[in-house]
Amino acid sequence: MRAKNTVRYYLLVCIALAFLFFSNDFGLTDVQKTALVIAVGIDREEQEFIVTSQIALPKSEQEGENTQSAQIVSKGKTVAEAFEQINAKTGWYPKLVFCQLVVLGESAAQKDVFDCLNFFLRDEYLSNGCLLATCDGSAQEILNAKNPVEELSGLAAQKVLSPHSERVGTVLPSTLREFAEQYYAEGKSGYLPVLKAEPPQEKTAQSDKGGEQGRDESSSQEKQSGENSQGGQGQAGQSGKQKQKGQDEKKVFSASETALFVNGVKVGKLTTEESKTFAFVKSKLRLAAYLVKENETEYALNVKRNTPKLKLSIEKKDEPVLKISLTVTAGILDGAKLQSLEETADAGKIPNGVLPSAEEKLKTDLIALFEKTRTLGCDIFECQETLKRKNYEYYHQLKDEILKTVRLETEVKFQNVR
Amino acid sequence: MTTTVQRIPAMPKSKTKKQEGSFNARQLCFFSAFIAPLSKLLETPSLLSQYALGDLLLPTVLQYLLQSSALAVLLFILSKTGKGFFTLVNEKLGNIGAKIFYAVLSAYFLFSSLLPMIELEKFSQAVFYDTAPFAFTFTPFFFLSGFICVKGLKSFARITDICFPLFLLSFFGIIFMSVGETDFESILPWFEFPFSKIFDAVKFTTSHFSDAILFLPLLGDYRYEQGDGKKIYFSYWAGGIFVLLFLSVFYGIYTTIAPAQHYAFTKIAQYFPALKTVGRIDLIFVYLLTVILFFANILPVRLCVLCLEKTTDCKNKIVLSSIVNAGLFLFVFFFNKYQNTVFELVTKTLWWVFPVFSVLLPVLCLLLLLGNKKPKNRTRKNTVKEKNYAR
Amino acid sequence: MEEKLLKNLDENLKILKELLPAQDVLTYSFETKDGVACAVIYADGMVNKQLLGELVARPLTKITLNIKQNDGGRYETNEVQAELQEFIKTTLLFPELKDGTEFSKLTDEILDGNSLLLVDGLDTGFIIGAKLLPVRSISEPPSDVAIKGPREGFIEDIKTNMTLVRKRLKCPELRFETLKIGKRSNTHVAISYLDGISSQETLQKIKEQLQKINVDCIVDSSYIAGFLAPRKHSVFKQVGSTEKPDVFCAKIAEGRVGILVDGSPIALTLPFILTEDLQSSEDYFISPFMASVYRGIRLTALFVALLLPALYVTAQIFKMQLLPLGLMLTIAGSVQGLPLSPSLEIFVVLLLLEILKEASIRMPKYVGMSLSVVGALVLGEAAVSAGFLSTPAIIVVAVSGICLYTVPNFVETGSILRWIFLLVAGSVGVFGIVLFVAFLLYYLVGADGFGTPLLSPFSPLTTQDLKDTIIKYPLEELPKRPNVFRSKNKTRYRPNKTDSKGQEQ
Repeated sequence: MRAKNTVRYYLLVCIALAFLFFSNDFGLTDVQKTALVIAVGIDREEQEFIVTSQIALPKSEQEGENTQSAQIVSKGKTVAEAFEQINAKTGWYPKLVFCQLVVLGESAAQKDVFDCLNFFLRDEYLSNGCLLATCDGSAQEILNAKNPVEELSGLAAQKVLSPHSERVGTVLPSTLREFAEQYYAEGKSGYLPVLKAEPPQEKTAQSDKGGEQGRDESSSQEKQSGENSQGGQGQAGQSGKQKQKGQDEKKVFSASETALFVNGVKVGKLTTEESKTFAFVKSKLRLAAYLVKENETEYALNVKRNTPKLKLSIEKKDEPVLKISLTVTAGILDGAKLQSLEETADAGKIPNGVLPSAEEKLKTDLIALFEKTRTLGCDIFECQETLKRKNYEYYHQLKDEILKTVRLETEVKFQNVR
Repeated sequence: MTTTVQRIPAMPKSKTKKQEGSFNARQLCFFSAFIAPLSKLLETPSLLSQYALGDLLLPTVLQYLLQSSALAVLLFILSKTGKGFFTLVNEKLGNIGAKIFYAVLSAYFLFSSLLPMIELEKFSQAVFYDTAPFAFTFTPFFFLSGFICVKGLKSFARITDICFPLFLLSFFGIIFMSVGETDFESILPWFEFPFSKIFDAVKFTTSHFSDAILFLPLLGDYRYEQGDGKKIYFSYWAGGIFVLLFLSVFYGIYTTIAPAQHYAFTKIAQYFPALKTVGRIDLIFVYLLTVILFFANILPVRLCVLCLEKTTDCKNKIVLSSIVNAGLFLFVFFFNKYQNTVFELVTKTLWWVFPVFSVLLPVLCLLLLLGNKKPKNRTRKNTVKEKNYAR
Repeated sequence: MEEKLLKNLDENLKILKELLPAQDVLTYSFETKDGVACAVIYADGMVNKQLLGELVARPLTKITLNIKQNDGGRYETNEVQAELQEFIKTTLLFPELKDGTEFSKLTDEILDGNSLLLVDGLDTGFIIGAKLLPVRSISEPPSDVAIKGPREGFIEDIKTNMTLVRKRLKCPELRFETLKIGKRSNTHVAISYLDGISSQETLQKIKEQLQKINVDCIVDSSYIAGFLAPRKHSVFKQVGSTEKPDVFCAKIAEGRVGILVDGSPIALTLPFILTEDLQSSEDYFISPFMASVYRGIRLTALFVALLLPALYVTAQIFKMQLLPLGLMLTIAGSVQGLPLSPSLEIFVVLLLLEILKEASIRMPKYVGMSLSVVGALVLGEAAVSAGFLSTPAIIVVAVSGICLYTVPNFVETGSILRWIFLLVAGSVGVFGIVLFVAFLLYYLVGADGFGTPLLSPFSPLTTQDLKDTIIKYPLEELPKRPNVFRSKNKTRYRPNKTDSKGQEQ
């Protein structure tokens, strides 16, 4: 009897599950009704946020393998409100689970960026490991830019901000988590790479591709409008503009400059050189190129490994001293002047004076960088945080003035790779 | 000193009754080390970092000191009497007194499972879905809970053997994936906060750390043998070390934004570089840990049903289990919108209930020792050999 | 009706004809040298007639029995009867010869394929074991193919099967206890075990269970398995089975009890543990390292088989993060414009797979080839081209189907579980999958059979037995029998002790 009741009980559960399975319409949105947002751009217009969402459009097998994108621009008093309009405009449910890039436009960076980034921090579905970047101009233009490398500009930008780029020292990428940690840390300072879209060197090969892309794009846009008539009109407007732009030249992304933030507001920018110098301190470099001049000749050193050490100590009369020690292992990569075969064959054969010059240069650059950040009030060297962690007894006494009063000592050593 | 070896005769088959609480020492150790820590990996890290920031290890250690002391007391009582707690309670308090005792315990277990149920419901919506799930998504959980409540405690004892490899694999998998992003120095400085803040952190997380009381019914029919106490005690501390390691890694990854990171163990491994290429394979480990988390969260419900059985003498577990789980379902369904209210009520207003039951009650159990004769030493040599495969 | 044989042959034959009216029960009558009537009753097609003629009829026709009836029609006394019986027994050159007097037993023997010799004047019948039953030859079983190792398989004849076992376990401890089950089929069932190694408790329980079976007909061992299973409504197998005598013997040698059923080539073993299905006989014929790798592969394939369709559905509806973006876009592109939702699509493809599987077993050989082409091309290719189904769905279901067959003993259970996982995933999502996994684990840890937990040695944890579960240790490192079977004699491997010069001691 008990066994019979057990069977009936399980049967009832199976029937209930089968009902759910076959009806399957409890407000669920499957992949066909979903807008996969892969990149977001945020600009600010007075009290409103302008959110540009780049949506990846999967193409069906008959239409070929290329993935297209659609860009939806929406406005709202909050970022969440702006996102809701995607659903209203397109009928798609926007999903941020695949969003790996958030670009903050210049207008957004002029005020506290966490007014808009809060939405992403709170969202349980968005990974806070997504890349964060700022740009000169509007984020919308950046995302609109066509890229010869990738169909989706968001993906192209992510490649530029990849860990590999960090390792070669060309970029200082930052994620939402890292930036938020810096914002809420003692120093309340942070940095973001500045994304730029620049025309590539060669134009000839791209103009043909641009035409093809414009045609492909319009066909995908038509299919979209077939799926949702309400959204289609808005998109047709978009696709019109994009068609024109699609026929414009393609642009490549770069992010060699770095914006500095204090309390979430952009206060300055590091040049390419300065960013590279900072990369020696912050990043783990592997195969980075470092240019040095010695005897009127430019040499490019191949940095195999860097070992930065930052130590904050409090010396006599409560003077904080920040000691930055850098040990860099490098070999010769190239020289502007012709070298002998022996020198070319052995990367360890560095001409005399090159390494000392490199040391001197890096040291000078480091000091200049630090002074710049000190002037801007941006504690990207985390003096306050280090003071709190390692010298807590002096923390309350020195925390407010440490950036102004800290003395920098640098020790740079370049080692031959062999 | 020589001890007379006394062979305890096996019970005649016809009189042998399947007893509740069929745990052996190994299973209790596995429970302490691999199941009990799970409830501390969900909301507790964000809660601790909210009150104590980088000092979150200190309140954890204090909690473990309290709970392990209470556990040590319980084990001491068993070692002195050689009887399970149910027997002791029945002997000392009499029939009526024992029923009152069990009724109070069942009420406590029910109360202690309220907040974890709501947290689990929110957790399931955040981690298992990335669209808006429908209202009854969490309902199937109560079927599982009902099923477990109907089965004997022997099954729960056996599930601890399964949780052992599951926990080790998934926990260390997650830690391995997270450790690359961890800045262990973020825990510094030590003792940043005044003791009052640390005490607040201890006070308001006590609902998540009240493990000692769970052992009381699990040891209800336990046959204590020499050396078991140490094993169980140190296993509990092993679980504590896992929790401390997790908290260090968690805070090392999130530092200042740690208080906003709910469902900690689902998040820490997501920064592993390979995930960008292969997808979220860390979710495999998360889901394995979730299986263990289900068992950890259902245990208080199971113990509530057990205590209700003893209170009402009702042998029909299905009825009791249905009532308890239906009640919990209704509670979750109607109160899931009031998570903050429930949270405040349980952790801030009624926080004192937990130390009363998890610390004070075990200490009061020492009174059960009064008038008990010390039994002969029960070692592994002079007992009927436990047949592992039968437990 | 008479219960025992009479002395009068004609009357005995008359009674036997009433008891066995079937026309295939024949009587061969002949006389001794001195004219005493004899008759051999047998079931046509079940006896070796040549043997009967050569070894029964011929010797009897050459002897004189001196059985006379007196005027009153009475035969000789019992003392003379006993001498006559002995004389007949020594005259007949038959290794299997016994006597009987009760009609019920004698008819059973005839229906069993034995022959009954009746002599006029004797109230004892002689049961002659001259069976020649139609059986097929010993061949490799189709369900358990081995690249390395023995290729013999059990057949339907229980005696042959017992011989195959005896051939491999040539020790006096090997016991066969036979009984008949089935009111009308009287099927021979042999319980096989090693005395002193198999647990007496388990053996006793099995015997009790078998004796309780009261059914008309047992045509296969699966009937017995159904009766022996402790949980009648469980999806999981609870009785081990094998078609290979080497596997059967190995399992008995570990401490299990085996059951052979006449008419079935599938032998049963008890107690059963779930990890048995993950193992193959070949694991013991190849290097332990490779065996461990293959077991790992089987376990992985099992998880893939059960979970892949469910995860595919759930990734599209509930949790897209499970897949990387590129793969998600590919899948999303493939399902564009499909009329079915992801869960329905997988349901349909899975149903088609099961139908194809069933049809391929049932259909005649000559039609099989063309229908396979129809199945593969039409259902696969054409359905995708027509836009009914997507390619990823077909790939997913095909992979799942192939993976399930890496563990052939688990196919039935696996198919059902796969459906349930799909149902759960399509309705509740990943949460449902995780809940169901928790449920299954909890159910399995509590499922005992004949005192042995189904999930041994994982739960309860028996570290010694883990050496031959997923990871396979060399035989030298498995000196003890598995603890789980509670064998009294635990040692199965005794390493040779050598002195320093390498001499065996």
